[in-house]
Amino acid sequence: MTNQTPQQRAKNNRPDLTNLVLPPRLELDHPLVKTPSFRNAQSAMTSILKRNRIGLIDGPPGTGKTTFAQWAAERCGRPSAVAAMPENPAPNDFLRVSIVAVTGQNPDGHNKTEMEAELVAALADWKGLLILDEIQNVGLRGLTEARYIHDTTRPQFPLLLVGWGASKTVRENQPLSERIRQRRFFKPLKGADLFTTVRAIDERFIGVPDDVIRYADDRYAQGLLRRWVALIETLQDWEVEHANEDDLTEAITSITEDEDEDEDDAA
Amino acid sequence: MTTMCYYEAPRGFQLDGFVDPIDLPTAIRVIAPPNAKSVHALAGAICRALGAVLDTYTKRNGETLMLSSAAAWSLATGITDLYIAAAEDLTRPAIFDCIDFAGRICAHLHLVFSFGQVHVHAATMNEAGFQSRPFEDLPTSLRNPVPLSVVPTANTDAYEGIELPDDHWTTFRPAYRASLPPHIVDLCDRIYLDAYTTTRNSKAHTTEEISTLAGSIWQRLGIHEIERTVSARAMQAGLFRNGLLVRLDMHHFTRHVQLNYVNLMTGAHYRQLRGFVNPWRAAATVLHAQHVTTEDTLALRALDVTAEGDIPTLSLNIPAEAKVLLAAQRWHQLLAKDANPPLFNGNAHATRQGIRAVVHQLNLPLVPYWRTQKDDKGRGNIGIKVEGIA
Repeated sequence: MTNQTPQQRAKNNRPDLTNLVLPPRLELDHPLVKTPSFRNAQSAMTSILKRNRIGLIDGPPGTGKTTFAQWAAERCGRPSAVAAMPENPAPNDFLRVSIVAVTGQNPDGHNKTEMEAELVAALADWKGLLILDEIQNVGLRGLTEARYIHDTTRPQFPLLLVGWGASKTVRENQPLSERIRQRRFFKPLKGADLFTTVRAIDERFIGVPDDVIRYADDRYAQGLLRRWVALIETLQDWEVEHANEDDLTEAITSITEDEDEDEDDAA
Repeated sequence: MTTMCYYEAPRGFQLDGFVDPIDLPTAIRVIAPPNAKSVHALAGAICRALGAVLDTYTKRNGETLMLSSAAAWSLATGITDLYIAAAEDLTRPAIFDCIDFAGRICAHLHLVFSFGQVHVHAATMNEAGFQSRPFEDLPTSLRNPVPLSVVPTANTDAYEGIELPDDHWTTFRPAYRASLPPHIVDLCDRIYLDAYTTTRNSKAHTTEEISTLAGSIWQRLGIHEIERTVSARAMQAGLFRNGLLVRLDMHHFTRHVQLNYVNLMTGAHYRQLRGFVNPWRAAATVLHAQHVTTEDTLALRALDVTAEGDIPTLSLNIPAEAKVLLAAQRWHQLLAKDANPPLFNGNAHATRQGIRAVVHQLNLPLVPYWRTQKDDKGRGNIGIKVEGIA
């Protein structure tokens, strides 16, 4: 071991990948609200689960894709795992993270072939729903690998790919595109869906006029669930009972200032 | 002369025929591994297609060894065709590796491209001399697979919870008749009477003859504790009527008989052994099950084993399922070396270690330990003492 170079030592000391595995259950501090995109994706899950096919969920960040993935993992009625692909992944990170998600342990294999064999063997016994989040990070290479693993396992498990821009990547590879049985797109909330959803997340918004909600949406949230949750949680922290335009403006200022500070720190 | 063809699958073609168990025993069916930088991935996929899925993680399983193993298993199982689906995912070097591999095992090479993907390797197909064939020329079982029914194997202990009385042979039968449930008593009675009658009709007098007799009875009746103990007590009773007082230490006697006279390996066990990528442990285990000593095993040369897996120099009755394992090891050694190499590379210690690992991993009915020269304690104790009745 003493003859190893720092690079070799760094390579051998694999990071613990378990923090890339999300719990296969909902972890919300607010009620689950089924948006139109959510209901649309929900209808696709039956076919994917019944026939062990591949499904794809695309949509901008903050529209509820990961929440849906965790909800699907919780409700699928079979073993399930949600793995988030890392940013700037190493060539075999797709396999590594998937193995960790399915087995709960870092892979034993040392190369692509060995890890493929390990994952195929694990999936054959497991037969659960595998959800790969942030799939756009692994690009076409990772998506092709996912298709190969799914094909070679008979297929014995349903696979749900989740990521922003994944549809475009899939269209670049026709064999892969043909394997995708169901595709769904998560869109930002608009119109009446926006008002209904915001009021369902927090009952204190029932008495808030549509104009005020629309103001906050135009100014900050842009129809994204994640931003609306941040906004509502800030108002809850301030113990605001009946939010008006001024409260929302202050909350938006507070959040955006925090975000700006974070960006400055990062810079 | 091997042929090389390529096909274009219709739109939406599913690859079930390349992974389902179907009736094409002399064909390798693989889906091309994507993003493969070397032939290692392809060799691994071929090994998996041949059922060799165990011990793929050995660090020494470099691409040469994986490829040799894939070729050895292919030659031992008489592979005639190599079908590779999603061929567009192969790299250009990987296609030439496939050609090389198919030539090495004298098999026809068939590349199946997904719909509209032939253009990816069109130049390579022309350069290498592949023939274009219509998709309908592929075997029907590949295009429209009818999966073979898989019979689930129950691995339950029928005698779980049954405790045999630990009585002397003179009181053994009354003891189990008094303590066990009726259906087990019936079973024990059948075993007891069978073993007793066989012993009475035998002319076994020496420890060697009695051990051989026990081996034949256990081979026939089984070696679970019930069959083993009941038949041993019946043998003691029968031998007493034959004029011999025989004392048995069941622990040592069982090991002695099982190591030298019983082979309870079945076809299913041998098929399990085909799961190892490198066939050496499986082949060594076959010879161990046939009671060939480690020294004799290591003295064998690759060409002592025929292409069919027979060993003419040893008078062994090797089942067909086990011959494949020996043939695979023969080919593995011959492919790796030029002349007539030893059948096994390791020394006695490594060979025994390999057999022990296999026996434990697959839970085989074999005794995986040996008494060595250094181990003086209890040497020669085979668990049996015979005295004549005055």
